[in-house]
Amino acid sequence: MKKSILIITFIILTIATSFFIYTLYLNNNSKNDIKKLKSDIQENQELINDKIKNKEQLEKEYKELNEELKEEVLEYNLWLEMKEKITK
Amino acid sequence: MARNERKNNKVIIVIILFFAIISILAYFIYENIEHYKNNQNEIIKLTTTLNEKIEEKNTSNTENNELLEKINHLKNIEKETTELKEEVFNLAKNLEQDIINKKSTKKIAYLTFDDGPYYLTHKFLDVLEQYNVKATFFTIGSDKKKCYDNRSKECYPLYKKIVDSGHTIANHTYSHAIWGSLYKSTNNFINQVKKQENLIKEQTGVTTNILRFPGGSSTAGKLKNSIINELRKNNYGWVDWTSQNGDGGSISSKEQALKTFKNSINENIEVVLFHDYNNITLSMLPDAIKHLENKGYILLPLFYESVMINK
Repeated sequence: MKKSILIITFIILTIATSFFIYTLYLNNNSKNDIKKLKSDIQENQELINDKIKNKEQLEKEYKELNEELKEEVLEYNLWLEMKEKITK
Repeated sequence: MARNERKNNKVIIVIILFFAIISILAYFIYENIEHYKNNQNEIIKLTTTLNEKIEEKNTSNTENNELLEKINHLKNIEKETTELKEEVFNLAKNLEQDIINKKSTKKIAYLTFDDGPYYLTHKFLDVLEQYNVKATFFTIGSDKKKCYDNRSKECYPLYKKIVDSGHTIANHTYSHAIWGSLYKSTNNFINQVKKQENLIKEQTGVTTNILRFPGGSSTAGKLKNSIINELRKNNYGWVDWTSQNGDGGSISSKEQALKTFKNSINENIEVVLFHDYNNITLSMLPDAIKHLENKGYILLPLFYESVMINK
């Protein structure tokens, strides 16, 4: 009787401890996931910032080129218009 | 008795210890589960944020790529315009065939200007630019070194201006001497063609192979076939005209020129003859363009492959 109580007690304690360790493990995992997500977000934000900077430069370059090649653009558009008239 | 009591006390202590341990474990397990739940919520929020960031990054990427494409298009615009021009000529060639075979109801008009460049040519170019029309200039070379005009003392730069404005530059012989030596022999004629070809090449870098006989091909008389044979050997094509405003002869007013011009428009493919030395033609040009556009004509510059070019 005494022995069986001891065995049951031991089993209950073992299960409780294991479950405790398992929750610790889960917590640790989720913390790592959070860390990774935060770092991914940071990384993506940096990339976005780079892209925004790049976009500003590209927009500036496009604007300058467009101004510089104004006549050539008009000429191109005129031929495009002729093409449309023929094909439509 | 006392032993039994001690034994019972031990059991009670063990039970208390057991419950104490279990309670502590349960408390920490509960705490861990609560943390875990919170973490999971944070993970969901962070995942959403990350997805948004990825989406934002992709949008930025697409926008930047579109801008890069536009920049590359601008950097290569001259090459792309040349390619587009070739494409337009190919499409126009097919359209001409469809018009001839009555597969299309569209109409094409080729505006052509003879005997320039003249001191008025830049004004013709301005009107054409204003109406977004490309035309063909059949140029001659003699007496063109001086253009006594307020804007330009020289006519030669006008050859380049014609080409730079996207018009077709073509050959009308160097001398245009209809009543002189031009039609005296095939050799004379071909020499004048070559001389003008060289002048155009020298002034614009363009080698033309489209010709209009001064006075029209019938002016060549008996020499016509022989000249055409020589032109073929030199890969030249030639074209007369199907409509005109009479500005090569004697027209006295804009109204008369416009009336003559309108009456001469009957075909689905028209080659219109004008002269860019004529002030009356200059004044009627906007109305002529509007008239053709209202009648549904697509205005194009001539190109060698056109069915209107005799080869």
